[in-house]
Amino acid sequence: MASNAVQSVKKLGVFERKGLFDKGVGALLPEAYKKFYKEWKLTEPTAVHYIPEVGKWKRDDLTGEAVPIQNIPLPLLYPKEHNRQLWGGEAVIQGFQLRDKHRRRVPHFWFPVLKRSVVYSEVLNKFFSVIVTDRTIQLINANYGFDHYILKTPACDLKSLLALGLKRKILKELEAGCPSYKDDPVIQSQLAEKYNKYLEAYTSDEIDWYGFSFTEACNRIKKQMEEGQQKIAFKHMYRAELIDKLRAAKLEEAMGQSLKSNESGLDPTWLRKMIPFSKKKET
Amino acid sequence: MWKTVPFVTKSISSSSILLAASSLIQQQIRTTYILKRKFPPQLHKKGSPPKKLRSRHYIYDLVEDTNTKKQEDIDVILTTFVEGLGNSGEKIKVKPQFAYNSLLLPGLAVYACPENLEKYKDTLCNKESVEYSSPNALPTIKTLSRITLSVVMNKDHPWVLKPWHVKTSFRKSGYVVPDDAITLPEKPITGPDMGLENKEFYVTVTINNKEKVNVRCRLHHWSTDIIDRIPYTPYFWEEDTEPIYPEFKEVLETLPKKVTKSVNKN
Amino acid sequence: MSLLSNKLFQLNQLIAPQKLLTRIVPIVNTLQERNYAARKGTRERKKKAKVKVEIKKVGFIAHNLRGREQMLAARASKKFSDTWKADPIDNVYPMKYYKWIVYPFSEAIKAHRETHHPEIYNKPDAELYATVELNMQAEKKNRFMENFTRIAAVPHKFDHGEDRNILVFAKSEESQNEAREAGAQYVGGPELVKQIQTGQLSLYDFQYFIAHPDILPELVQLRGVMKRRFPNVKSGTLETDLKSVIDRYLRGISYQAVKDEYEKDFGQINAVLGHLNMNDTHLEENFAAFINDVYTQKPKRDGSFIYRCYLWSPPSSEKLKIDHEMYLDAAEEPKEEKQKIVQTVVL
Repeated sequence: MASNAVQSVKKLGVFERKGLFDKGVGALLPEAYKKFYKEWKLTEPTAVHYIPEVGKWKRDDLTGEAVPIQNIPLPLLYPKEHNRQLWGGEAVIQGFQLRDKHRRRVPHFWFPVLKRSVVYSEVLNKFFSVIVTDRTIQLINANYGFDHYILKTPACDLKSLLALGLKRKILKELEAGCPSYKDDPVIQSQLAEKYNKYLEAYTSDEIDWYGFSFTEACNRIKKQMEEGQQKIAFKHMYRAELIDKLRAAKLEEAMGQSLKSNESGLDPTWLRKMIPFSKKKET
Repeated sequence: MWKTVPFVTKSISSSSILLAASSLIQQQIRTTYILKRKFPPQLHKKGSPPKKLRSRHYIYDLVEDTNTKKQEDIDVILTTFVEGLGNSGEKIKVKPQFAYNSLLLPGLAVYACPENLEKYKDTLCNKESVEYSSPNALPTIKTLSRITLSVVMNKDHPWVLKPWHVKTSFRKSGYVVPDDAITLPEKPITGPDMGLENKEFYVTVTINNKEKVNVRCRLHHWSTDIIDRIPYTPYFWEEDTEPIYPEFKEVLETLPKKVTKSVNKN
Repeated sequence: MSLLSNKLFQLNQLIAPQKLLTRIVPIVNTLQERNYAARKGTRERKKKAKVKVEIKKVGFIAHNLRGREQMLAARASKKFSDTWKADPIDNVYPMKYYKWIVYPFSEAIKAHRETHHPEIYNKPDAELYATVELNMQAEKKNRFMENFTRIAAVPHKFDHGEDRNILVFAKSEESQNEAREAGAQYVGGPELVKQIQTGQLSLYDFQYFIAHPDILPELVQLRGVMKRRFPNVKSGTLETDLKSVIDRYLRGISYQAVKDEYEKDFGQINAVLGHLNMNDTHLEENFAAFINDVYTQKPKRDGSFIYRCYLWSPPSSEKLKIDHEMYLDAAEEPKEEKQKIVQTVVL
């Protein structure tokens, strides 16, 4: 409690910048999407390109001094192409090489080795020709299948929008009870037995909002809201109102007229003669 | 960068089995460049964000390039008979690339996960479903049915063809065939008879007491005395000839002929 | 303005500019002269550094020998290894896809007897050959053993079909008689040495020279004539027990280890062990004696000396591998493993 108080005291008078979900359309996004976003962007991914040290402290070999272990991940680059491929957690690393003690450092990029291969999703019953890395295939093998790999791996490791989109599709398919196998209920039940454990982690709303980029999600919510409150042009509204009014008025009038005619018994053509601009044949 | 890491991971782990599932994965698989900073960054205070990285912190040493490392073989369970590998239900160890591209994607095999091991346990025990006695039986059948075996017999000494003669001929040509696996045609072949020279017959070889395959053989006479010896004809298997007895014709016609791969024969 | 510049200014005014030019220009044009000698030996050294490029005249090379070097370099290694191949699992299989079969000695002979049966090749008394493939690397890397020719004593004699002429030197009557009894054609004492010196007897008529140590003082005179063939203890030609030496030279297995001309660390021995109609155990004992004699030549280094060993018998082209290590007396490794191999072999 004390530390909380200290924190809040520290924050006093400090301007807090508005976050992604505090302003504009982002503020409208549902909690389900925010949860996914945290899993995707704000979680530390698995160390792929370096070997993290384990433990909290280590001793200096020479002096025996205890030093805390702080694993600071290597900054990674994700080019936009990676969103259409499955890199299995790999990324581009920009850095330098020191090839010789007496030479200036040399800039260097470490790229993942990409190749085109095929992955098969049992739930969707489809083959996908995608660009993958060796690590992706190894992870698929280690997880005993593409579906298991996609469903087990958190969004921070899947990273690419293709993988996340596939995960949403697979989850939706599982939720619907695998309609692609509607002719074969045996397989349907087998798949349910195999994969339904992964559904427990998500609510239906979370599945619906899973795997969209921030822009996509914003566009989606905007569209949804527009569809929700359908705007009608004033002219249409007023016209409808007028028609209603007129209808009501006509009804009243008709009622009144019928009463009157019964009372007076005047000829209706008399009235027509009184109307000044009526079309009348003049001979 | 990962300010909310503890919070997010806590919320996920408390609410789901997602992370519990991911812990099953051997995340130590690294098939890429593994780097290490040459100059490690300065330590930061507990609770405060890490210090800004300077350009020297971007100088990396390559620890390992796992792309060039040999990958370990993986276990798969075959769902059908695969030539040279095994029968359905058999668990085999193969290279991961081959397993993924040639067995798992075409559906010839499934991963050897605990559920599948349980599922295919019965098919393995059930011997009736086994198509071939061994994975190498089919390739052996194919090779044996293609060859023309030269059976060399003596020109001067009388003989009646027996399985051990054929066994010796097989061994000379580089095939291991035991005596009891060879069945000769019922009608005996006797010699020396120059009328039978360079004529064909067949023997039946039984592999592992199960698969039977007919092998085309050709009879040749050989004399110890070099003057009497019949000169060797190169590519004798390409020349057309007749069967020793007309009864053999029917079987011999079903056997494919050996084709020489090399083009220049001089 | 400083004092110096002041003076310069005055100087400029005093001397007319054109006069100054005439004085300066010639100085500029002259080359720098050196009134001391260049360092001794510099020119000679530079001359030496220029190596004359000698154009080697290549003589005529027959068409079938051109590109022989490249062909040899591209040739597959003769060193045999089939460890990467699988073990056979069926009772019928093509041999080339699997490891070589290691036959027990008697089984290999049985197989050869089958091919030489009267009903097939009809040559039951054919010679049985053994081929031994050797690792000819000497003690150091990039050093290789010389080709060697030896004669191995065998316990069971057979007709090897060679003419071996032996000259025996012995001083005492006893040892001369012993040599004659053992079967030597020419036996002699100091008088033989003189005959050779005078040229009455030619050394070229004999292949091997054996001597008893008692004649050594007289025999030393022939050292210059005989050169490497001079009897010595190392090659086993200078011994007191003349009988066994003569017996070995007359009836032993003579063999030659020949290095491959390109692959210098690979050598091969082809030797006759006996005839196929000999007793199994006799042949086996002959082989054991032969392989042990080969093994005495092993250089003092780690690693194997013999790659493999197989038996063959013309006119059949079959080569049947046998396990030589079973027969080595001085084998370092335990023999249990090898016996296992023999048990598992199914013919």
